[in-house]
Amino acid sequence: MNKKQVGKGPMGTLWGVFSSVRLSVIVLTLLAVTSIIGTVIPQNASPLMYVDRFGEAAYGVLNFLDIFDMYHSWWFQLLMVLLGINLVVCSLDRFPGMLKIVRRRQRFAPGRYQRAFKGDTLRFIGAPEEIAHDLSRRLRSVMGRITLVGEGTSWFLYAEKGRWTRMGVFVVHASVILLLAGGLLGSLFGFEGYMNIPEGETAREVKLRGSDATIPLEFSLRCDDFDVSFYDTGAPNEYRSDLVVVEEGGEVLSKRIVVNDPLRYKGISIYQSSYGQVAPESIDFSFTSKSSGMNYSRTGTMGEPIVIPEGLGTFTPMHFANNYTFRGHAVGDTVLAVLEVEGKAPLQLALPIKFASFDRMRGGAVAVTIGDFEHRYYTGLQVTKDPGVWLVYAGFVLLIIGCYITFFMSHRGYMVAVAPVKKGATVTLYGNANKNKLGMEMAIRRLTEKLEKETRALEGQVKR
Amino acid sequence: MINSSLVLSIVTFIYGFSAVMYTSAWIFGKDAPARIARFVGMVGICGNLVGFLMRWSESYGHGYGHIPLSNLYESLAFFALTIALISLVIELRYRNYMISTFAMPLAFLALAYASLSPGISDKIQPLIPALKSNWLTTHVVTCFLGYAGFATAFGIGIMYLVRAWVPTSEGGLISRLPEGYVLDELIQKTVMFGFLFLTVGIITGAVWANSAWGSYWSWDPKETWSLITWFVYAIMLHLRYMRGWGGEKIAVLSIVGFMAVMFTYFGVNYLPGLHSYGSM
Repeated sequence: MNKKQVGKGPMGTLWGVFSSVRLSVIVLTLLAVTSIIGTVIPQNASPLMYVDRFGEAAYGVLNFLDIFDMYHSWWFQLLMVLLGINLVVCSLDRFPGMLKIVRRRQRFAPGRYQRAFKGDTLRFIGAPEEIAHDLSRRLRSVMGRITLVGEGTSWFLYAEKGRWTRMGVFVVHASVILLLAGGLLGSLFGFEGYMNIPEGETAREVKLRGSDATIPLEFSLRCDDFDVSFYDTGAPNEYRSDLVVVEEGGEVLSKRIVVNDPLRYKGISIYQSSYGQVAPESIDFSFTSKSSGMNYSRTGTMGEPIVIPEGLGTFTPMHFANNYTFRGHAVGDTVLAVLEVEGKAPLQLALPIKFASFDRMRGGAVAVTIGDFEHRYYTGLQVTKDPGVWLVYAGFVLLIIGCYITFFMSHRGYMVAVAPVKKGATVTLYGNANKNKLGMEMAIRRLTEKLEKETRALEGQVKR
Repeated sequence: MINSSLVLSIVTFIYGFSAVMYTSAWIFGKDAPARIARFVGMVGICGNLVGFLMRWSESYGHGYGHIPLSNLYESLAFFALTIALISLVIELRYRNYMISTFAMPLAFLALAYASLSPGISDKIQPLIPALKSNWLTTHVVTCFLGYAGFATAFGIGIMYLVRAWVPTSEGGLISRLPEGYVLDELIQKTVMFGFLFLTVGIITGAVWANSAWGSYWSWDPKETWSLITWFVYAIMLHLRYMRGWGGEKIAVLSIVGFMAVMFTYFGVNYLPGLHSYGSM
């Protein structure tokens, strides 16, 4: 393909390697194959889960290879960089040659159409010159600007379209480079994190994903209200938060955000991503004695022990957990507590809010149920900054345009040969294209049919 | 009572009948069954479209109207529609019914799987918050046009290999298949069609993700698999344009590519990720 003589020496060899289609195919294949790994092995899970699943030794090896965060690993990034270099070098290598082709003037020689697709030869009545001029008028709308060339007694019509479409592939390659550059810019100067803000409170610290670090925003965010609504079926309908941007003591902007409608301010985007119940200050507990059937109500706070009458022990609420999992079942918001009875080992209790009589199933001497408490939600916000996103979007637009040009437009050349015969001339249509040869073949066949029909109709009129 | 599920179940059999007629046209080398098959196929397409529109209006009756592209059942019904439509368009353009002979069974299978598989619910469900976006329609429609293009390329690829590997006898079954070079070019055309729409599908998905989750790319399994599919076809197009691959090699690649498409569509449902509603 590449006819350019590559100079000897290491630079020349390197250039040759990086401009080769072989490298593109290898890199693309490696990207495709390695990408599978990350879809099969869950990414960024806890080390405990991996050790549990793969064992200590295998975990060590896989972790060394960054398999658990493979899309951000050095070797995956290296593959993408290779693809980028390959695209740049390969485009630089081919661009001048292509530019020359695109700038070249069309050559008017019948020999150039020797291997083109050829339609059936038609017979027209009249002088060849007149026929040629007539045809150039009739075919202009299909073929574009037509050049008439007389050679001896024969006439040739030449036309071509879409020479520039040969550049389409560079548009595609440029768009992929923009995507890679945009991604790089985003990962260097952007961040992705989250913040949980209880209703009525203000916050400005963003916890970064995948690390324990936090960064402060240039402004504060206040959540005035959070609400989740449900369909009749019980499926969630909408999560929404009323947010206010507070800057230097003043309210700058307020917006009600829902899942598909974020708040954007100063290059930072804030998305609705989760929610939960804020651990309440105090909770009403009710203790039912199995032996006496008596109910005792007490109000408790986290970490404060409650002594249960009848010597049933000491109950200490420890922690309010969102979305707690009890023996593999998601039971929602749950109060975790400890029950200590003299002479026995302390007992861990899980008291899901949703299932009031949950603790009865334990069958202990005392059953704990949760009564009233103040329900307060916090909104879970995803906070991101990505300065590369506009490059990526520009890449998207170019990619679509480039693919369209490359796939559905072609450089087409036409030649119509008008050769004199007795009392008229033969007319033959030729066409070639750099792509979609079958389409060209059909176009020539259809055009020939159309010409024949029109001509026969005209001749019929003349005869009548 | 007539509802969209019933209509789509009936369309399944119409597609099935059309596929049978196409096959008999091929086996007996007669044009009459092909004409019937084409007519029946068009009836099927109309029925499929009617079922789609009915389901759309039924969802409004439930009080949460949305375009029926939100779960596996609905996507399969739409997939069947796009396959049938594309193959019929190619058939009419190229005046050759063999394309539909290999593609109509795929439309039948897609709809039969949706209607008959016990694991797939045909219940109309409300949209979860993440799906409530104007991007839903564009994203799903473009993705499925892409899938349908690749499905057609797969059918043609199989046809090419049958033609190449099974000995041909004059006037036999194989000789009624379109010429090899026609199939070769058709694979390329349908793959390019699919590639363009897959590209647009991935891009609309990325733009949507950026407006819903704040990140245009999160390496979610479905995203990743759609990219893998994109890589496979990108490799195929480069081998074709730049290294002059053609014939059997390209036919095989069109089949490999379609495996990736199928995994993107179905296989990913067995992996965790943001697109898990696709399995409902």
